[in-house]
Amino acid sequence: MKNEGAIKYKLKQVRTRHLHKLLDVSLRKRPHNCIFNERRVSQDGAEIHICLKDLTICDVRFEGVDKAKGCPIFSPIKDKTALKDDFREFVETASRAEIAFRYPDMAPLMWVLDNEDEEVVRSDDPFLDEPDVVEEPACISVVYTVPARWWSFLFKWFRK
Amino acid sequence: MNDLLQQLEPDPRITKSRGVPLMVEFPVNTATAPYLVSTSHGLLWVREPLANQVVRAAVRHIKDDGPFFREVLDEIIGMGQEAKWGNVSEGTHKGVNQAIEYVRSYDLPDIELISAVKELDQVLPGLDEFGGCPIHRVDWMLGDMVVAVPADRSYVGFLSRFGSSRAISVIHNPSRGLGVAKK
Repeated sequence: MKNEGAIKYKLKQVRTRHLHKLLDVSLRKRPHNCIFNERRVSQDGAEIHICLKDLTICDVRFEGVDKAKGCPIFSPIKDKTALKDDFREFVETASRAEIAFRYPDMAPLMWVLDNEDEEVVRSDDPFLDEPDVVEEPACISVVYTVPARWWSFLFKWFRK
Repeated sequence: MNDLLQQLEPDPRITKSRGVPLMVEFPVNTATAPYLVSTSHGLLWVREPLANQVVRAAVRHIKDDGPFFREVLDEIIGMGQEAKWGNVSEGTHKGVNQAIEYVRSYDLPDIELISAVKELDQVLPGLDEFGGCPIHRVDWMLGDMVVAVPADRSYVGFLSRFGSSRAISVIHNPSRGLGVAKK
């Protein structure tokens, strides 16, 4: 069983990894990361990215990657500090489901820490596999409890 | 095991009195979002459970498991690439190792590989085992990919049949339970 400290340490590792990945992707010299790059749509619906500074095409489909790499006026949409603040704000304010969607490995760790004081569900409990049907007046709907093994497994996994 | 998902018998109490339900609610944990559920005609991504912590899945026509598993895989691959979960790697030996590592990063003890039959497999042709994981050859899989899954499929999701042609499915760990190496 992993103790709270180990889980917190793992969460910190995961969080740092995601932040580094975000910084790496967002600060990379690419057309879509530049503040001067804008998407324009022509009358026939075709879209293209142009540089508003020198009014030339700067699009990944038209050698934009090389152009951005060597561009002297490239300027990222957000700097490192702003990206870090955004990331921190997201993790602190987003719903657990949103975090789980964007960072699948982070949300379960946060969930385990939230439930640290609660009793651990025993996976060998025979009643856990017993589905629970709640009869409702509406004929189209029943509530069916998923066998809890996968939850308890997830829980056990963090605690081993 | 040759299935992508756990095959779960529906509770007889569900069908006993009222026949096959149109829709079933399943309690879930928010931390495991998103969920991929069956609808009456296809599959639907549910990014957040309802307020009472349940997701709704519908019973739909599923005659054979194979095409349905392929449909599930296509959805997970598409969303994984879009959301950059890191669960989809290139269809090489290195990519298969990455797919295994992706699932293993959740400390799951036993991991298996699912792949097309040897004659069709373009990623790991002729092998019975790779990276310490047994390879299960299935006829429903296309030859351009290999999927790493936990041996205990209940970790990924389930398929529950009502008779021979109708079923309901909830994939409650689509973002964590599968690693795919695809050409």
